[in-house]
Amino acid sequence: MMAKLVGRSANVRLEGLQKVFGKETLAVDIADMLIPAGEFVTLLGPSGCGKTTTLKLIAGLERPSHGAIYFGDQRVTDVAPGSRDIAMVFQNYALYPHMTVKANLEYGLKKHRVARDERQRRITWASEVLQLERLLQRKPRELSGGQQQRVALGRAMVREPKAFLLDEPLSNLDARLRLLMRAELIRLHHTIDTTMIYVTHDQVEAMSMSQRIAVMRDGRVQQYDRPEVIYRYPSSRFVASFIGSPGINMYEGDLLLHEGALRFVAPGVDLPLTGAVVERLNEPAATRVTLGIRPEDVLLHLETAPPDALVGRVTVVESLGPETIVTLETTLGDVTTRVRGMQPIDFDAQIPFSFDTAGLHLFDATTGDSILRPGVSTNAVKAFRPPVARVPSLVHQTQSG
Amino acid sequence: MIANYRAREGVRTGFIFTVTWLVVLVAVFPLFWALSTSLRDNQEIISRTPTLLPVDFTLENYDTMLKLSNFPQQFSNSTIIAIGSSLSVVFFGSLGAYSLTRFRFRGQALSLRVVLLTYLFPAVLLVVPMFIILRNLKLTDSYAALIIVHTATGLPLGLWLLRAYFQSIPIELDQAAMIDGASRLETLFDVLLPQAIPGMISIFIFIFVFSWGDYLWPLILITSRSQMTLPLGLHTYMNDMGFEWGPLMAATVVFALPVVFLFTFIQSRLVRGLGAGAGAVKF
Repeated sequence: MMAKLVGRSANVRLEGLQKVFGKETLAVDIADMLIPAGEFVTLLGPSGCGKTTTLKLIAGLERPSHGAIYFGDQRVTDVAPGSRDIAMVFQNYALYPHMTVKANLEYGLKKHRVARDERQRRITWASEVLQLERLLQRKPRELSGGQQQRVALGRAMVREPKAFLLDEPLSNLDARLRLLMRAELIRLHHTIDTTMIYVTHDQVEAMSMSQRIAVMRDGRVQQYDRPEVIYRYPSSRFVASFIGSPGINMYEGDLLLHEGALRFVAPGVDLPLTGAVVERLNEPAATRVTLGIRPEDVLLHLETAPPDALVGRVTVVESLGPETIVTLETTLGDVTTRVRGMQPIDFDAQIPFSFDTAGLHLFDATTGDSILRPGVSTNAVKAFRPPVARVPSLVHQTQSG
Repeated sequence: MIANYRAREGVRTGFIFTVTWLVVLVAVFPLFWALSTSLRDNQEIISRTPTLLPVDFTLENYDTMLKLSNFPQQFSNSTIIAIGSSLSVVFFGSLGAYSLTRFRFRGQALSLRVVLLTYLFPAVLLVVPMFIILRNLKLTDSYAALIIVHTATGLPLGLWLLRAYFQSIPIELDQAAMIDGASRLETLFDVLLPQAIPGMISIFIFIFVFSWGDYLWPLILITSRSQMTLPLGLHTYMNDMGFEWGPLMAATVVFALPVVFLFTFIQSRLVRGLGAGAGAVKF
């Protein structure tokens, strides 16, 4: 049942890819990007950043203004979408409304002249994996959103393509179903092991599903790496602020070298920088910097405080159950922190806090680029995700969506 | 208070009903009178005390019409021309609508405006140029002449309506089909046209009715008896000798039948069948 498509999936390589709309608008400008065979890669960015256009270029629905696209060794820049051996899942699913589910799955196979027996085998396989067996004779409009979503996935699966292209496939689902389908997609990728290129503006989807993320802005790839590297060592202020929820705290100030010790100085704050952050610092070209610190790296001292702790006044307390998000008003500005569990924290209380210097980020205040070297090698591709044990029940409870 | 409100509501409803039915009566009475007249004998038709329903029910007029006039020939002429024009408008309209919604080309917006402009011209202005063109093409007095003219005059409307239909079909459907390996033409026929069927049927009916009832163009372009359409044929019952009311009314009734059929059967089925999913027929 679980035929793997490993042998069929291919590297996707973008080379000097540019797309110009109209006369001036540079929608996509990617110098070089390799999507390794079998990986789940996400193009992440705000709307209008060129991520969907990039996907359409890979699909062949748009023609690049410059550059080339390779699947494996094969240059496909001028190959028609139907001959590229890819499949795409659209945001609105784009199921053929007048065809039954079965006919929807079968259409692409017929157009590719797949023999009848083989068509039947693949449809059976996909409808088992996605639990579509009882829906095969229905029309798309008789299906729920979640079911339509699965048919769209099935239509891509039966093609046994070199790569799956997914254009915000979860954004039309309600929050609960989106969470379920996220897990299903991870399982599906593990099951069929084919290259998946996923477009989203939702950083949670990107972080939770991908093996690599390309953070895009204004048509350019800002950073392309494994999710945990992007989270821990963002290459720019934009990447740092786009990833993580609640968002990273940022403060502008000056970097001072005084008596051999490095300090971050802002109005009312004089923070000595020690440890890892000093080792990773590039030649401090800029003295005007933005200091970034994620909420979990802000330490609240509810009982005893170290002598150099700063103090802030509690203005917001959000208890989420497993954690509590606390916002403090300080001389730096607002500081958002997260603490484990449900903490009895009073509004207006003065609470001492400090920064975990290992979690500090420093960016050039003018260019926004990180002035820290990454802490680990970010080039290695590792299968970091543990194997998923429960493969057979790919879909459950999604009937009601 | 409530009773008062109910009473007023009742009066209102009664008033609306009365007015509606009056309008319907005024509209339907001529048709009813034609039907009623066609079923009387000549004596009764010219009688000084008209009755609402025929006293002596007879089909004699229908018999006369079928045997003595050229009615069957005219009926088939009209059918061929109306169906030909409708199909032609649907065909060219669909292709045009596809290109207008799926491609970008220089002068796209302008071409749409120009098409609309031709629709706004009164037909009479086009009579002379159209006649000269068709005479030069040696097409006058033929089915082709009328099909061409009806297509030309009906196409702007067809194009605009079908364009609206095609615009409502998401472009992702085209893209999905192309990724599935369909050519442009296959995409059009396998995926897009099935979505546009309600629109295509609306256009078909609309052009059929227009072509079926058109009097102006056959009058100008058709000269021989064998090529005459029904509206021209009806005129032959009004001759120097006076009006042959019986056969004229019989022919009128039969003339109206296809249109009545199209509207009652096809359209109501269409609205029921497709209204649920793909959008109802709009006029």
